[in-house]
Amino acid sequence: MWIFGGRSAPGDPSETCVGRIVAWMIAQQILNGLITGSVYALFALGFTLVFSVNRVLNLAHGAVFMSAALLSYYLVMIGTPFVIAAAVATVVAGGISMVVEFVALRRLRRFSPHVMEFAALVTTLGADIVLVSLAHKLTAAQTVRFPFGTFPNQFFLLFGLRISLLQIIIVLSVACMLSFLVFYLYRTSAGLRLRAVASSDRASLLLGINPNAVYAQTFFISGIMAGIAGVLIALSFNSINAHMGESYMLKTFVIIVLGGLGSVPGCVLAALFFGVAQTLCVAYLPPGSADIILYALLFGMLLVRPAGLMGNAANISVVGRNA
Amino acid sequence: MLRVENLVAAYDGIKALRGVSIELGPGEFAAVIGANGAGKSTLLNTVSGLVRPVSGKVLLDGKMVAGLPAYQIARRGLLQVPEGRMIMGNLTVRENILLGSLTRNGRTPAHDLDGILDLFPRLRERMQQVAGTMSGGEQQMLAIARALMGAPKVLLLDEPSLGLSPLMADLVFTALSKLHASGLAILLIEQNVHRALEVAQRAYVMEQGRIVQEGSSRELINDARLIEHYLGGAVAAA
Ligand SMILES: Nc1ncnc2c1ncn2[C@@H]1O[C@H](COP(=O)(O)OP(=O)(O)OP(=O)(O)O)[C@@H](O)[C@H]1O
Ligand SMILES: [Mg+2]
Repeated sequence: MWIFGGRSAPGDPSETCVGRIVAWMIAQQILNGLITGSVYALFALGFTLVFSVNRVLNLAHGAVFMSAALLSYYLVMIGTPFVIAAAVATVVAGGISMVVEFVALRRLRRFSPHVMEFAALVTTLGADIVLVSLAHKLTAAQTVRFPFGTFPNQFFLLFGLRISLLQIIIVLSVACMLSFLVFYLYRTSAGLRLRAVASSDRASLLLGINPNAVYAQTFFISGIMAGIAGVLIALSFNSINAHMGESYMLKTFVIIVLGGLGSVPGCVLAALFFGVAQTLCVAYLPPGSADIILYALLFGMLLVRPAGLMGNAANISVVGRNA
Repeated sequence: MLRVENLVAAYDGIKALRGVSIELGPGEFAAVIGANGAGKSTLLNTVSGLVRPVSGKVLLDGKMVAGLPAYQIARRGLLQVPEGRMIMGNLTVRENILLGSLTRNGRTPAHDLDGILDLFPRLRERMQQVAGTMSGGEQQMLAIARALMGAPKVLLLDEPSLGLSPLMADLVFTALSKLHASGLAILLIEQNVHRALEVAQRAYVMEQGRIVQEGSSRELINDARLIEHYLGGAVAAA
């Protein structure tokens, strides 16, 4: 009961004090969880964007994420200032993602949708394996770390909670990317074209829209999002290896199922929730129980609301005011 | 304006068009009629570039467009309102219409948004509605409005009356007559032979991938054999 400090008898200062500390610790964990969750959101949104427009689960998304992290590491190692390394790695990730689209999907589109969807699982998985194996070779299967001092280790106090400079950067970049995405999708003619293709590629053709250009565009944006997430995660945990994308892909599956496939707000909410739940599980429950709880949650969600938190109601092609 | 010469198209080697020739002058309104499976939609889709022709020519303003990707043909002003309407059901009416205007490619539209909404007043009240929640007739109006926003040189329509109540179909055909009167070149595909011959000046009759007859609507409507053939039981019952 001492979590709620106020409940203890007045005049028992020690108990009140302990209660405050525990509440503060939980608040700190929730803040950390929200920040981790915001990176998940960025990563998962890129995946969702591609799914909404291309009807394809891009299994190479995690490899693009990893490529950006690894590339930023190599750039820093040859003396590039971190900010430039991060920017270059992000843009290159967008490029790699476009190449994945071109190589793994472009030629499949001439087949009927159900054939294409299945074949796409195989080809994007192939692209994933190529990128991961390449990274595996490059790193000699080792985990690599940014040299000490790559990013200043500064802390600030926010309403009594500790927040690092890196965490602030994370929140800012995710917020920027999210605002950009919403603006792009719902306020520009390129975004309108994109949502048109998501709605019907055949009708789009008759309206003078080149779907291939739109597909390439979605993969570029999605790759940029994976890239930013990759660099931020690499920096947060200061640990980069060829397989780092895999666990994020798994998390993304949970998040998009929780949030509803194709839903922007659902994806963000689910990712934040996932981040908080995971952080709290890791902090307060026995080791290894976090995954059990999170996947049980996923299972429960599928039983109760198979379409997810915001399934159907709000996927990307849907009008702006639902976003 | 639009000239189709000896167009041949096939699905997996099975010919659906066996040398179709059609001509549509500026401001002309022609119809293509024929039974189910005659190849009418295939004709429009080949002209629009959705189906690649095996051989033959499609000329728009004297320029060859056959073989170009569909989106480029649309940008040149050959706009199709497809069978089944194909509106973007998730977008609002306003967004669908806006989407149409992205096809203009520098052409000045003969009808601005206001003019189009005068033609289809029902759409005016529904600009914020999600298009997929509208009735079939309203969706058909939206599909036509969307194409008009793209400043078409030639408007192709594939069975716009399909699944519409007689009243709704009337509204659509009245709008088409008005568009024709304003000088738009229209090629209409219809199963509803009577209605098609009422609004169009000329008509082609299609059968098994070929044009088997052509003439002015007045000639064709008095052709008892033709009417019986294509309306079959419907006329017998009437
Ligand atoms: N995508 C396709 N793949 C294979 N065959 C097709 C395809 N589309 C049409 N066909 C065939 O081509 C022929 C002509 O079809 P089309 O749709 O052009 O006819 P239609 O005159 O438009 O008929 P309806 O009045 O029923 O719309 C038919 O035999 C049809 O089965
Ligand atoms: Mg048809």
